[in-house]
Amino acid sequence: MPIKINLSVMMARREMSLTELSERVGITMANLSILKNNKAKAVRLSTLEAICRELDCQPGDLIEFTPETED
Amino acid sequence: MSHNTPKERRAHGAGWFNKLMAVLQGLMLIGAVLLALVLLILYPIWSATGSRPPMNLMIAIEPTVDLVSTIPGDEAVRSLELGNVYGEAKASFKNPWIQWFVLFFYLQAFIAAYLMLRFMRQVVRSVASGEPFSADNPRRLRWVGLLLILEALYPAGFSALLSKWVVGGLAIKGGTFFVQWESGPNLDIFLIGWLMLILSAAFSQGARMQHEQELTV
Repeated sequence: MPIKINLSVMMARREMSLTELSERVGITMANLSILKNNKAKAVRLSTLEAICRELDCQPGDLIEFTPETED
Repeated sequence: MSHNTPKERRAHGAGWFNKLMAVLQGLMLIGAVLLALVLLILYPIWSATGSRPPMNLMIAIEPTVDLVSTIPGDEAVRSLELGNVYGEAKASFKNPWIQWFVLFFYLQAFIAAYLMLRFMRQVVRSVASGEPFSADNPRRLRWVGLLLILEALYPAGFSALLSKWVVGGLAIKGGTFFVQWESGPNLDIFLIGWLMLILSAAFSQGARMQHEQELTV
């Protein structure tokens, strides 16, 4: 998928575990894991807001667009 | 046992319905097993020993005779033209395959009913557990629809074939006669089967939306 979620990178910078982030944000670990592994189809703005607040970052720090190259 | 949450109440309500369907499913399975035993074990023995029981058939006779009223005095009825006359007959066939074919027809009807009930029970269970749009339900509904359409259509062809076999070796004076199995395709069953296919398509879309919702964080 061209959209990547760089959650692992931001979590490492803030030295926060998945468990701690899921408790702070109020999302289950399973859902957060879906997001972290780039399996999510969509992200609610409320979720994005909560993650940015807890990780003290901008949405652009988390979301990256990489266009697919034609082989 | 209390059923406080909506999910528990749904599951409890569906439980009775599911049990009823399980009983019907069990009866279809018993019927299928018994018929399979008859077809595979008893029938060859009967054929070998020449003790095949005759088969019950519904027949219809279309007489070509006209009846004339013989009521003296007030001739309220001048003449009476008979239409089809329906009745039962017992037929013994020289060719053992004809009777075997009819029994096999019943066997596949039991198997089809068993499969339909099985799929429907699975759908009921998934709905009761709060997952009506699971990935498997469209496939289950599609199978039920296809089986219903099949059961609606081919008995008419089977009836024509059976008529040809039975009538082909028989003659009757004063009329023509045919085996009354099914008068034609069963339109009601066909339409219900078609409806199940439409529902399957709708559930397929629902399953896609459910999947997308599950992957929305």
